[in-house]
Amino acid sequence: MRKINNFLNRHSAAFMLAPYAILFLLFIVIPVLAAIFLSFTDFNSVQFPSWVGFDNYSQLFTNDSIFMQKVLPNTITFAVFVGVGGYVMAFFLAWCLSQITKGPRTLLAIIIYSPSMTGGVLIQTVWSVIFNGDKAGYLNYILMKMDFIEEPIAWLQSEDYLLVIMIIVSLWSSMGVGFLAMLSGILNVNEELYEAGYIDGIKNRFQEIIYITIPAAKPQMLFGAIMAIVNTFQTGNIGVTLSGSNPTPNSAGQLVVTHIEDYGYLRFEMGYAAAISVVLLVGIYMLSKGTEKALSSKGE
Amino acid sequence: MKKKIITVFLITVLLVTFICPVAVNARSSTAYNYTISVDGEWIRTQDAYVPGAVILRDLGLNRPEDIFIKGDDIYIADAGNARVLVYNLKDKSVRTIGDGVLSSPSGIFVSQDNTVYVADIKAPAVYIFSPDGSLAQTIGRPDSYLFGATSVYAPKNIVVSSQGNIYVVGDGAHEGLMQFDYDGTFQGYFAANKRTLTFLEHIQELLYTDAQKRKQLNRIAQPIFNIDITSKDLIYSVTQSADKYSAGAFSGAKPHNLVQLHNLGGNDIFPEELAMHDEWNFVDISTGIYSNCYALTQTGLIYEYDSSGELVFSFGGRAMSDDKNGLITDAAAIDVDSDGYIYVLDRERALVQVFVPTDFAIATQRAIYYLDTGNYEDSETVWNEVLKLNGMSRIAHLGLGKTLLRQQRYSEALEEFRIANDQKNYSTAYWELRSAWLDDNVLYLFGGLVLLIIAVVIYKKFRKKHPAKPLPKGVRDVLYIGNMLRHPIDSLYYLNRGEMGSVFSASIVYMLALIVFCADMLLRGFIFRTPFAGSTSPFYLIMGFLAVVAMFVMGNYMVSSINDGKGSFKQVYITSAYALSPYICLTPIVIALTYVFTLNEAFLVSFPWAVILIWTAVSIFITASETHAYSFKATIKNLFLTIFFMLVCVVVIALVYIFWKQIVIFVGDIFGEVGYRVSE
Repeated sequence: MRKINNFLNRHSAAFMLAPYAILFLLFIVIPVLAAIFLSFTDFNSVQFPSWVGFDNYSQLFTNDSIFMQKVLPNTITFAVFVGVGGYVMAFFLAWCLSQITKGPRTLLAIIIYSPSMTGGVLIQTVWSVIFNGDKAGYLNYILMKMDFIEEPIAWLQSEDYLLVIMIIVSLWSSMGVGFLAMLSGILNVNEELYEAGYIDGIKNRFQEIIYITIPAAKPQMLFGAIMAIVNTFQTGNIGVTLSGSNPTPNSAGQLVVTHIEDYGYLRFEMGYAAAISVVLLVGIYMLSKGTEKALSSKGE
Repeated sequence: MKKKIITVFLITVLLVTFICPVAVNARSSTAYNYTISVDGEWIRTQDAYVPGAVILRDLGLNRPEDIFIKGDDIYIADAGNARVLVYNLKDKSVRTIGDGVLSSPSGIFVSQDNTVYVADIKAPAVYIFSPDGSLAQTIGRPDSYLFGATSVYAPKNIVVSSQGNIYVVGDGAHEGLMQFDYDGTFQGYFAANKRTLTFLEHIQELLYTDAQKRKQLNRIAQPIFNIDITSKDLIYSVTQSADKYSAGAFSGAKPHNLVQLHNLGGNDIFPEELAMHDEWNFVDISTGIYSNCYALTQTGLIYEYDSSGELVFSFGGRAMSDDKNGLITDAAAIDVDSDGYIYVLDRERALVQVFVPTDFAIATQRAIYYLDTGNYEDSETVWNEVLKLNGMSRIAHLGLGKTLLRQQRYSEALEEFRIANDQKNYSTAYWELRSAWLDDNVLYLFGGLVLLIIAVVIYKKFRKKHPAKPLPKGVRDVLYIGNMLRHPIDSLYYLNRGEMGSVFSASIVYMLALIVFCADMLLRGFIFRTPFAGSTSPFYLIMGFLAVVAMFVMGNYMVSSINDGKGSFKQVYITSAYALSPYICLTPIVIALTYVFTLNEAFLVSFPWAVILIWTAVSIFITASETHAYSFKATIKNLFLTIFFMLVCVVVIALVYIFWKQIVIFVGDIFGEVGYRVSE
């Protein structure tokens, strides 16, 4: 008994860590490693994968014209507007909310936060009605009423508008955990810092934000930024949800995530899909690292 | 066919010898032939079409409205005499159709089986005559409710498809072409022009009352003016523009081209982004024997387009005072015979002018035809012949490039597109080339990247062990632009206190900005080059840049000195230089990217470029604010006043320049006069 106790005591750290470590290994590390392995193979999910080396990668960057012409530009546009735009918007909203009293603040925060919780269901009900393709759709009705268009536009099937609509809808539902974190971060800034700042010659709200709020709420802002990046690359399915087809009409709303799904689950070219997801992983990792560096060096 | 050429030639010779003996050089065109050069400008080209015979002069035509050529027969809608006249080119026989039936025939079409369709604008009706000349059918005003109770029925022109569908142009019919089936039943309207509201009209629409709206009369689309049908039953149409200069920013975007090619659904199938060289007063259009078409203006100019709506040649013109062959007084209609000869009907002089294509024009047409039908080898050969005749022709370089592109000879195609100044096709060819290159080198690229990362890591480790010696102050001052990127406000603080930067380093920074500016204007990759990059000299760029910088620094200092600004002239000079650091540091990256990316990934160039511009603007703003210790509002005021100062400067300099020039001319004149008097 004592021996067992001794053993447990000596390795307590390992045992305490074990549940998390096992789960992490099982659900994160092994799948990622498997994906990296599969990305070097040709795998149709039935036969045993056969080794093809870098073929999948060179195929992706040289021969997949949809990836280079549509998916990549779409993803970058989407990421810039939804990621950066959403982040700036989240900060601005959080800052605005922090200026008002507690009651309305809580209420408004819940209202702003709720779209990100409900997600897919609301997209179908709310936005599909607004952007409906016939003349009963709200947007079509209003525009026709005002004589801006003559015939209804099939917004969600249109090559020109799908990406824009995706961006709008994603922005609307992007006020998630990052937004709440930033709100709490801003609320937690010590009031005395502001007073000291005003004594030291801060003249307006803008300077207050630059010199006090942002440096003080930096950890939460960093968290918000990472969440924004991850969120951006994960909400790619929105195009498929809105248009109701994968690939989206003429690949107009095709993002990396939907491209992976297209190849993985519709064409069953698992090896190729794995290669795309590895590229996506590397991309997200590098972006996160870059953001971390940019944000953490700012205040120093 | 040979015989006809000889006939026409003989007639030409006869006419030349008897009618205008002065014109010795008969085979040279009276009006120049033009095409679009590689720079997108009109240039003269060697004669593509020369005026041939003038025919039908003595047949007593009176205000002829339309011409149709079927085999050897020329059908003329002789409106003034209320008849259709048929002239046989071979035996010179003349017969008439519809005497006593027609009142004012204005359009004519003859089908494969020699049935004659006549649109009569005054009757108003469409008359169909059997090949023997007897009236077979009359189509009057349709009583179908589809036609519209208030619509005007005034058939002006007519074509018939190979299936027997009849398309009629109505005078002022903005609803579109009237379409009848073979037995004359009205089928509905076809291919209407669109009219989009201009910005101003949108605002009127929002604000006006219903009574006011009803007064807006001119909100209807322009009616189609004339049509022709191809052998594949596609319909060419021409529309006249309401005003001569309709293609302006304020009159709203042009809703459609004035020459359109309609498919069976009535939609224009010329490429959407086509910047067509069209004219406002087209009156008729005719299909050529290849996939080309000829559009005629009322003043006698003829524009030839290829199957994608690109201008090939322009020729002809208006006869102002004299009776030169090849010039038209009042053009009414155009048609092409099976040899490609072009017949233009002159309404006022009541005659037909024939234009004969030269070998040059025929070669161009054949090359385009081969390209359209997928015969790329032949097309390439013929294009090369055309280029031997005219090396500056844009259409030839473009066409050759397209054939090479289809033959997957991308690097040669690339060169042709570069000469033709066509960024879009160049981009396509470049994409293919880049794709192939990447395919071959993807492993090396990957390896190179890994090596680079390793090298950077090793270098960083090395630097940690052996810290670099501090650079001399001058170099550090110039490199301070990097700091300005990361910490603009702090950097400005040190710059203003004089701890970093100097007049010397600021001058170097200005030089760097100048170099970057010139590189950006002149050295971008071809696909992303600005249109004027080829024609602007670096001298103007340098002078312009220096002038703007000088005016900005002067203006900013002067404006701030009367507005409680803190900055001295030296500070303004130094900090303004460093304000440009985002532009200096990041633009080279964008310039490099323009060599890598194609129009497919244009966003990856335009987006960083927008970021740079916005960042630089913000940087200039912060600089002004920090240097003069201004508030937000005061900074905006300061910058606007500075821009105003710069504008005033430009005006003053322009005035001084003009006065100075006058003085120089004046003094020069005096000396010239004196010199003249003295020498006398």
